[in-house]
Amino acid sequence: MANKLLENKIAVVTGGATGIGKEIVRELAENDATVILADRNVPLGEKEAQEFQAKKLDVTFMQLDISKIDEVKDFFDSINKKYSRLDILVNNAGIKINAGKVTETSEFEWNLTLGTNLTGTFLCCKYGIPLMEKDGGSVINFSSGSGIKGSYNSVAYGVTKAGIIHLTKTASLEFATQNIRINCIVPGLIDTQQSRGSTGSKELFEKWEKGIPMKRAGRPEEIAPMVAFLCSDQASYITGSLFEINGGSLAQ
Amino acid sequence: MNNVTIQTIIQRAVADFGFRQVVLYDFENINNHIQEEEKLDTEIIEAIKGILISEMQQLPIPVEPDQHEEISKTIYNKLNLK
Repeated sequence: MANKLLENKIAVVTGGATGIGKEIVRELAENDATVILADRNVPLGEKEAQEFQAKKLDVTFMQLDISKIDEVKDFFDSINKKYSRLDILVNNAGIKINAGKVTETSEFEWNLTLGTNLTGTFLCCKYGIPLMEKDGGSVINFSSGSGIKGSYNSVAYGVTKAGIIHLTKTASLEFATQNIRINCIVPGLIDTQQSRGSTGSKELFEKWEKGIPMKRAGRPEEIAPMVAFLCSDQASYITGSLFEINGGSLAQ
Repeated sequence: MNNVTIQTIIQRAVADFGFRQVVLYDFENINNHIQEEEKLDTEIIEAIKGILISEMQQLPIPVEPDQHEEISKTIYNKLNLK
């Protein structure tokens, strides 16, 4: 039985319909949070929320494309109207486009990636954090190992993930005295549809796994408990920190 | 008609799951990009959108590299652009 770390907390998880985001929705809800599953994939988001509800978990779907400023504003306005506050914001949504070398990356792909991952995370912080100013709260941003060290064929993705680390640290300083804690998860290779799809072939995915000290990709359920902990009162002195979850990849 | 942009979009979306997600869930951006490059009629774009999204939803994850060319060609031919 799960410990109830997040009783009475209102949580938003972006990109909550699949992969790591979906597992975070489950983890937060099993810890008694009221969770808004936000995703741009409406049919899938609705379906997943209904499945959680069938398990008596307090999960509601709301459509959100984080790259659209008006949608982000309206989304947090709706949260404010319904709940009058926000306790937890998990900025998990993002895309990874393998666009080739720096010289091969088109402006279109660059702008798409920055618009979703970096601007989208910024917009959610900009419009979500004010809902925490009265009672405090916790923001979890998602970076990547690619935001710390270079990686091939996805410069825009790596730049956004590096930017998210800076966004996390700066925002954590700005809101530290208001009891709004802002931390960052830095996952390595996690076995999701997104990472298998982005890797591009089964063979390459397995090759990447062999390069990890633990010789396997992580699982979404190995990320979600860290998020729940960081959002709980047990992590009351943790802010502006990065949490690498990667089977030892960045220790090499 | 030279549909290089559309061909490129299909090839990228077949080969790269991340780009495919943009086609599936953010077609507005794809539409703007096609319009900038190829100036197609709205009706043609709508037809392309319907076929592209339907085809992309059925692709395996990932599409293995030795299938990229054939699948891309099949999808492009279904658009029936002349």
